[in-house]
Amino acid sequence: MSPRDLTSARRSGIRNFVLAAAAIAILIAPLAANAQSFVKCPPFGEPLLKIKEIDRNKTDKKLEGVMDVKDQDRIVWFPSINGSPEYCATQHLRYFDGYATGDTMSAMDAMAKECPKCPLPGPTLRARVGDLVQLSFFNEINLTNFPSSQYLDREGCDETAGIYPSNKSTGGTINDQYPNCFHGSSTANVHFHGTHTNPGSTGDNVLLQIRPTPRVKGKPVVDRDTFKESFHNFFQDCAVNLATKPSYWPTNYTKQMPEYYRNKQEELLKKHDEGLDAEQKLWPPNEEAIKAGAWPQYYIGAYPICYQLPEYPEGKVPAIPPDPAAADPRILQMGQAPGTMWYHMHKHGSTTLNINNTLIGAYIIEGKYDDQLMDFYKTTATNKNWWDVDDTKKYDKNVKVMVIQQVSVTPNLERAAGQGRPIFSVNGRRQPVITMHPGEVQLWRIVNGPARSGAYLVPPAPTATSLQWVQIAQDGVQFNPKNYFPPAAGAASQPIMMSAGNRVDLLVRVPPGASGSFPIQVYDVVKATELPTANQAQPKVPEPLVTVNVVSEAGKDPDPAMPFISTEKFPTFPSFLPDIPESSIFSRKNLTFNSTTRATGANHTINGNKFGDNIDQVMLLNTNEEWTIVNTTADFLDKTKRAQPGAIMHPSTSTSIRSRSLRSSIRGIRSTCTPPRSRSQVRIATSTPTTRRRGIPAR
Amino acid sequence: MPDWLIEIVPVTPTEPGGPTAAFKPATQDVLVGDNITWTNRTEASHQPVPLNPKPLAWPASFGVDPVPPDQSCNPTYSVVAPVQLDSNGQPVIDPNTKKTIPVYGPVTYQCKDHPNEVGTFNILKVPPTFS
Repeated sequence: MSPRDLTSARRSGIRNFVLAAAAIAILIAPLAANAQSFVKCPPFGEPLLKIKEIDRNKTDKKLEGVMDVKDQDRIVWFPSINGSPEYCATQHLRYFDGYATGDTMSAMDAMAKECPKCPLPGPTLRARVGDLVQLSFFNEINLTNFPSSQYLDREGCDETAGIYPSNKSTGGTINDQYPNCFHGSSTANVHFHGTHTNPGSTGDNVLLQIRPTPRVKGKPVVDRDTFKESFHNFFQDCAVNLATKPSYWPTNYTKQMPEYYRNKQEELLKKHDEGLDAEQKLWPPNEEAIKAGAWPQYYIGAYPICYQLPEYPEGKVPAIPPDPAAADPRILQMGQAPGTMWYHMHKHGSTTLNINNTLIGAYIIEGKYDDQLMDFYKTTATNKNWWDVDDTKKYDKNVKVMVIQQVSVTPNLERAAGQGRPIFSVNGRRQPVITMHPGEVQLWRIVNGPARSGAYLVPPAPTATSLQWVQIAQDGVQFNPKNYFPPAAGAASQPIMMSAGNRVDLLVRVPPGASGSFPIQVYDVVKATELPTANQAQPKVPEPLVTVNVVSEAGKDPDPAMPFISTEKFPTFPSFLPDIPESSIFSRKNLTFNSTTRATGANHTINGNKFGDNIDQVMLLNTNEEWTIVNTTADFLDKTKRAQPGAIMHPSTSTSIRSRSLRSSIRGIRSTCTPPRSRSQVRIATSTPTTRRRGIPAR
Repeated sequence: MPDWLIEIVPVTPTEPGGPTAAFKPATQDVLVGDNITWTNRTEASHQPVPLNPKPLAWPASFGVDPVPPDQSCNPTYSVVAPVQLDSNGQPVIDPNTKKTIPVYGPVTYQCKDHPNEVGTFNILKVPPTFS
């Protein structure tokens, strides 16, 4: 049976289920507010939006609230077609919303008047190292607003007639098959990218698959009240169990998850499975996992998220490699670094589409890094303009959180070829404007959120009164002070390459006497050939990502001018992040990444293998390894013409990473090095390579 | 490229034997390569199929299976333009590009099971401009 036949046969199962359900309850959803159309694009150059936050509770030391996934019509920019200018249309997108416990309005509702139908990223999460994170998570997507091929989570693929998952019938080469095909894009989870915490159960668990709530007459079956008591009790237990020491709690689904929640989930999953083929059902793999003592993977409508952001003990230095005999199990080998993280939906098979649909957001984890920056600028008498003392304003004035997006609706492979790349926006707007005063320094926390494109940021040409910047952190980890090199007055700042998923913290300074506007140019870079330094006959043309307007106001300009932070006062580097010495390397491994084009099958592999249930790497706990990652993807440019081989994801190049086989470090390695749609699994062996796998639910 | 969601919604017949469902919007501006999804908000199954132009100018099918109640269509349809035909009703091949010549403008479709339910795509060469 061909994959198409197989899929069609399975669809018949869905239809039977739906028809049966219709016989019990007449499921006529209220007519959706379907107003998709070509529209006039919002103007460029509006002020940069401050995305509403789900902020921590300082008293309880908790990030506590609700996160949900919804769908609505939002405006999307599209590239030129047949010589047209860039254009816009309202499109039906999925998005994150949420609010902190005690807030009276959700983040997206609060921003709706300021920027109606804008394709905003999700609310910014703000926590602090040491905090407990407790979020009630809901999936409220209305599945009928999306193609039915997305209804299946197992053994199904999205389908576009004659194009995807196979276009062989029309002479093409695409032949994607489950699980390595686009599917289940309305099924949710949240990857808290950059956290060093529990990667399983109710922590940063990317293997969860939380389906949208069923609906009866348009109303969700699972709502805020369904598991209110269960979640309340669970969060209380979680707080107690994570209060005394860092741990993987909860580890036992049957004993540690509330009975009502477990029973209701079983009921909902069995109802969902009615009429589906055996291999498409979701309850049997859950049941199998529970019997095996593993954590089940499938849920419907709601899920409690609870984990800690571990604080490394002050003054401690980890042993490298860790000494299991001497180690006190209550002492961390590694802690959470403070910095700019991000979160996004991470359903395997749909991560690209999730990210394209604005299912991303910034995640600020504060700590000593913030305190020391703040101390420098706030406590120095001449620099008191940095961060208002008034807490309600402290993030507005001199700190900007920017999420770069490339919003789109359907992945390239699911549509006809040759239709251009999505367009950059920042916090839901095109080329927004930031106002700065002469003599001011701002902290910019930038998340490059597109699924594919790198953003190569170019500073203004250097003059005595040009805007300058200096990078102080990368991917949520501050620079070692030894690597901090602020430019001298009038000197050039360094361009910055942000690959997809990268985060960068910049100190941005406008010198005294500056005036006018400073556009920050960006190149959309996927291949080395697209870098402005690539020695191409026809180099790409950049466009402004954001523009800084310099406004001088008597009495409001910093006087004297604010400097870049001094090297002496630069935040102290975390003691748990020392270099891994060469002498400690236990083994070395090579991983070869490769991607082929649409014309050659559009295959993404690691060591020749696609993602699957096989475990590709085994690491011995408490050892160090060095991985050499080679990307053999061709970029069609003579190596001698490449100015920066290895700078981005596609050049054929190699890089080395040393990893400690601490549980929490593995996620960082994987996230940094693999594109979102291709992932290899890592097993950590506690004694020998035959010991049980950890954190990988049975399927 | 945009995606478009077209609803199939219940309507009250205005005359005996009149349609009990309709496509909403009845006319949708689209570009070649856009994806279209029909979602069925009625209690009956519906299947959009091409009506005019006829094959060979237009594919004989959207490749879309019947859409059950409260479901969306599968597969999604990717818009292709009708092609210019010669006096014998055969596709004209552009001598320069060696390809068929697309014809932009309105094309109609109907429900295979309920032929009086009719909708229209207006295939644009370029997106509309707004002053």
